[in-house]
Amino acid sequence: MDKVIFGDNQFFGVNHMSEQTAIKQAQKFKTADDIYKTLEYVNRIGIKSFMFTTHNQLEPVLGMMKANPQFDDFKLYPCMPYAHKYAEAMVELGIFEAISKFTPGNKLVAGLKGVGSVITSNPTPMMKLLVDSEMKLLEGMNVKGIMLLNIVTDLLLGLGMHDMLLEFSKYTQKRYNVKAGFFTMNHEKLHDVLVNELGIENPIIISDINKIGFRMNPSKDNVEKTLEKKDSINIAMSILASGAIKPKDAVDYIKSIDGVHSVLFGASTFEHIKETKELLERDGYV
Amino acid sequence: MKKIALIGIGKMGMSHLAIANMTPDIEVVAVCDTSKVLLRFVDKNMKFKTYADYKKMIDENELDGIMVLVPNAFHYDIAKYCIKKGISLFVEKPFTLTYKDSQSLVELAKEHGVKGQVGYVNRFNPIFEKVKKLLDANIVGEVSNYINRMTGGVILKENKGWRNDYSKGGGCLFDYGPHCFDLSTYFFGTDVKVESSILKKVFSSNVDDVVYSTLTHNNKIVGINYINWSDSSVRKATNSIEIMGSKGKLTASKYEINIFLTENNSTLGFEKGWNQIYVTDESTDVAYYLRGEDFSRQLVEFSALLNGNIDESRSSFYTASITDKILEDIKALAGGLK
Repeated sequence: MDKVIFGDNQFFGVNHMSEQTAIKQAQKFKTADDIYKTLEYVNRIGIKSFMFTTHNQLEPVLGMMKANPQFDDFKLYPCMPYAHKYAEAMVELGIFEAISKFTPGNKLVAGLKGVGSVITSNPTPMMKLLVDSEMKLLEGMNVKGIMLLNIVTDLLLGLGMHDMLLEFSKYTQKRYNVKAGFFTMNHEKLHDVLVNELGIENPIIISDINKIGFRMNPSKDNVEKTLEKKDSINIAMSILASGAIKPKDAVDYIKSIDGVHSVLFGASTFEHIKETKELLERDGYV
Repeated sequence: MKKIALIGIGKMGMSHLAIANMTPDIEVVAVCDTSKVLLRFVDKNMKFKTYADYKKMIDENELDGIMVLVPNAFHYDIAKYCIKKGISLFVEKPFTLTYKDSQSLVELAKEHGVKGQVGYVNRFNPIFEKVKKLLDANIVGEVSNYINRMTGGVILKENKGWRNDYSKGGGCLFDYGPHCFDLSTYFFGTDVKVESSILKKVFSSNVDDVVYSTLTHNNKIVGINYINWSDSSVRKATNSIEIMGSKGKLTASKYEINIFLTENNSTLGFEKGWNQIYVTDESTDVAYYLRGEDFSRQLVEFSALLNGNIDESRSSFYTASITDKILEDIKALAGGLK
């Protein structure tokens, strides 16, 4: 996995600290073209991995990338499920229309898998169905991993439905031949479940890791100790804690701790993207 | 370790279940819901006992606490039953549908020595908690007036269904209002009077979309509360407040505080002029995180309440009953929709 991975929060008006910043960013990326141009730049300067939520607005962008051979070696890490998309579709199209939208050409199988899931109360078929429908968007593209968003990872963790985490991991491997990754706001607890309880080898865990310990639950100290075990592939996000840490300090911290494999970051201007990349690459950071 | 159960686990109930299950010093033993599909799902995939009848659940389990997460209209009956059984409660907001009902539950809980908390989650937001502490320490001197705003994009076109029906809990006043007014009483006190109110419809036909209301607290602090659930520019519900005092001004949203002072405050460590505090400056560690620190921390408080570490929740039955009173008074005073 690449050391530097580009994220997508800036495209959709997500900023964890400032509502104002989020609004400004949303204004900057109004069209698919705006997003595509940024990704083109990212690719051109040598950031070759993109981790993104399977957001509606990205559909046309993916199409544009597919058409451009310069993106052939660009690695994609879709993060799912983008629940909002389903909720909106259900409201606007109704349940049946929504299902057929997300399972094009596969209505019968989709219907059976979904219905079976309800009858047996087994969520696994539904999980597979959702993964397949999201992966349709990415057919023929260079997908290197499939990530589960923290709202689902952490919900399953909290409800004690740990088997589902294992099922997800097995399915991405078996059906798509790629590793699963898990976003979480509970690094220590998730690590314990994935590694010690479920026995998943070197699971990919993406979590907030930053100098001020923001959203490093249950504590910065505990997360640092978990990272040091080096039996998981750890991707740090929010290294700037939404701007609370200066880029240089943020990178110095990441370099100073043991066990961070990659950094996932987003930025909305070319200048900031380049700056952060160069800071990260200076003398390597692991 | 205190044993608890949840009544109502659809939607938000499922998040509460996950958070409660991971909260230190409480153990979720059972859940109750009217949906058979949901109960079977829990049976097959989780470790909790399941019930379709909450009375049976209470009889068969020794419970220290219950979380009442059912639709608002059922809060009163279920809470009343649990209180009479001597079980402490967490009730999702709003407390009940009328001030009279809320008031009677406050009394009943007192009678039975039952502790109660209502799900006003803003009181557990790290930034709003800091604002409260700063106000208690007179950061801006004597507070004279404030503007409290809550906006979001819930109704952005013709409003159909339950949200367009007051009897089903619809309308911006009853949907967003509780959170907004509860924040006002958290900061400025529950000795409160509704001085004016206007309910305006924009997209809805039978309910309000915009609320303007003036409150006075302790007959001294005046505040405009402005609520709008038809703001298409906002991704999710957003609270912001501006507080004027004799020594300056404080503005706050869920993520940051800006303070303007007319003189240095060395005790609290703030300078004359503008000062800033971000959520990242505050301690936000939680044992388990699902949908914001606020939700985890309100359950930590419920755990502390059950374990006797605190006597009263900062979001008590009493403070919640006052919020219900404010909503009722606003609707009565407005006298109809503009």
